[in-house]
Amino acid sequence: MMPHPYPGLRPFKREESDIFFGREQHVDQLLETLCRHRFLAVVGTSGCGKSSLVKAGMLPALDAGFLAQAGAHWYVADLRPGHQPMWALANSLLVSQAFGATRGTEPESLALLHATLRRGPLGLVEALCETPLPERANLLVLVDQFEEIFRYRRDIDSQEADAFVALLVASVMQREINVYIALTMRSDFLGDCAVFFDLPETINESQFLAPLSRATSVRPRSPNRRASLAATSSLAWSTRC
Amino acid sequence: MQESSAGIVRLEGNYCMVYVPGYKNDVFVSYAHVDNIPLSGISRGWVETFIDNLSTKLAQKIGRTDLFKLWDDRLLAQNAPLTPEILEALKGSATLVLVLSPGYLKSPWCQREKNAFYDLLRSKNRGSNSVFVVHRDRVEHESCPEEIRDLLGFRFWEERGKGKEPRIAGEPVPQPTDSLYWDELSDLAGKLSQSLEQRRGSAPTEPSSAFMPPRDPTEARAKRPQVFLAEVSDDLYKARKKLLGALEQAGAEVFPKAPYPLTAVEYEQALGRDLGGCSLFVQLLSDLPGRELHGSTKTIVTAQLELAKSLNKAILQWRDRELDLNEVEEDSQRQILEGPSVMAISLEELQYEVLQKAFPKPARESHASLPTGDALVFVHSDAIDQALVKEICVVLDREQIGWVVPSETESPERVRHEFEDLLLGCDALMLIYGQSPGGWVRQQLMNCRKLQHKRETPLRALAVFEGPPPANKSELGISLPSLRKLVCHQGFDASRIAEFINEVRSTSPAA
Repeated sequence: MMPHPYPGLRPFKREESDIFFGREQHVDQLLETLCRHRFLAVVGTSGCGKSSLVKAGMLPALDAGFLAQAGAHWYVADLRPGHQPMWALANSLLVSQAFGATRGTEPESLALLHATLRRGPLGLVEALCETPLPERANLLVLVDQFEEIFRYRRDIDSQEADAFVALLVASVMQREINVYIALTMRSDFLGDCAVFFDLPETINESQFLAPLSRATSVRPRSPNRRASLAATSSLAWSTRC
Repeated sequence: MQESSAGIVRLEGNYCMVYVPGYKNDVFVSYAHVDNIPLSGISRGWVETFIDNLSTKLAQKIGRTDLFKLWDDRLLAQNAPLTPEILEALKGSATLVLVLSPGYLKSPWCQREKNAFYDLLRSKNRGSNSVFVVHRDRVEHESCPEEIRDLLGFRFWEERGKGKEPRIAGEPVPQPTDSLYWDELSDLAGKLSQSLEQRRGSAPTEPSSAFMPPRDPTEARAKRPQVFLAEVSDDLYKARKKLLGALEQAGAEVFPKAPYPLTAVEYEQALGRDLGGCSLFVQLLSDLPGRELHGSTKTIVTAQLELAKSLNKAILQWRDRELDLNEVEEDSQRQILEGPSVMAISLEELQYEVLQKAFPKPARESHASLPTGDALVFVHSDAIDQALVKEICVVLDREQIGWVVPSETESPERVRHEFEDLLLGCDALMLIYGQSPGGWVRQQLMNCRKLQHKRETPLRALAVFEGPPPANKSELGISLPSLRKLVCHQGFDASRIAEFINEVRSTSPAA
């Protein structure tokens, strides 16, 4: 049972879709964009609910099969670029179980996958050619707080930052393997995307500007009602026992 | 200490089979024992760890863990002579991996093995791409036996500065962050798997490419872009390797596939043979002029560039933007570095440029399903002229000519995409100028002209059908050489479009 219906200042998590209300229309728009371009950039001001919308709104909708064209079998590699974007990607891919038992999570597997990803823009595609996804399955790479890549590029390693973005873009330019990319990014970094080849074009056609989570759109009565129902059912169960 | 090699190890499981039919082993690993002695406090030797990691990656590449056999000598006695068992293993192996090091070269044992293997290779009349050299440590080019010099190599060491011993990747144990070790291991596994696939008789597995649409495998091989990625001086080995990886990953065939002999005549012959078929020449430059050719004053850098220029190849040259040209000692090298086609950009930027040149971008995804047929006319009108469109389509049907009209959609993006897709996919365009404003027709013609360059062939016919009403028809104010006006102001007249139909039926495109 959920402890309470409001998570506070942190974003909603994927497993909290049952307390995430009122943004179905936005979720539909996200799915439509993702379906059309296989790439989705959810852009908005800080704290407007980008991550919540994607994690507690879109991901459960994918699992529910609302993107009918792709089916309901999804692996999600959820990462933040941080200080090591390629490592973060390799790690999230292994954690997502997209490669099944063929690639373990031991350091050697991680290093080998990292080497494949670094080999070129089609590194992810190559890895998925080596270890294909199950039939009718899809991989979504979710890069949360994508804006971290700009600082990484400026302060740490511009080559790896460029390679990371090139890999994301090239992964959705092919169509043989079911790879989808979604990223969340603060809108004040939008102009910085121009430092990467092909990223502005890709974002231009697949951007979703996340509106603020105003009370009118989240319908605050709903989570309360849901919490109330959950409490009632729990009480009933306790009584029976 | 025994400096021997060769032997056997079986992959785990009871169903271990060879991957390449007709062989007893898929991979034979030859190495010197001295290279496999664990350092103090380490439980396993470099070669043993290397073989395990190679097996893992090869299994991923081939897609099966139980379908290839790999030999090494862990199960043999250390002092075992070159037994019939080893010779048999050599004979029955599809590929050979030599772990080259100073220790390997000093071992007469290994020499005998190598000679035996080459004898077998020659007797079976196979190509040299079944032998791969792992450069575990630095070995001077001149110290290398001739048979090894020109083989495809994978360098597991890197310089640490003048006067220092090189760093050996993966020593004492490979750390996950040792990118040199894992990059080279992955590349070797990739080349080995390709070689095994070829020997097995199946099509080589190529990654699907963002830069080249999928095709029939045979056709794909025939149409793979061929790129000449020139040999480089030692300091640019990693840069070239990175570019090579990206090109091969995208589906390009990259030359040279192995180093050329350094004798001037042989070098230039081999260079000419490979470069002739390539559409693009890429050369990475540093302040070092590269090796000098034997029997010539040219270096490999100048020889490559001169031939590429004489063959009129598209040339992309690169140097590090941090390189200070004033500090380049060799005048001839400085002149090359100052050349107009030398780009001082980052390696990632170069990679992007090279991939763009080698693989022109595919057209955007089509949003319209196009009818097929010998000839297809795109009949385009504003919504107000739908009645005229219907009459024209009836005539086209009667003449057995295919036609297509835009679907009804309200999304501006879809409207524009569909117009583009239909214009690029049709053989002829007819614009309907009935009740619609002249500005609409004019804008369509402008759009058509704008997109014309994206078509593989020009339109066979282009016409504006000027239907009723006759009044209030403004001049379009645009004239294109191939534009035909079909004037039917008084009412629909099928005969007026006969000439247009003849043009559509003609096989030659409009001027």
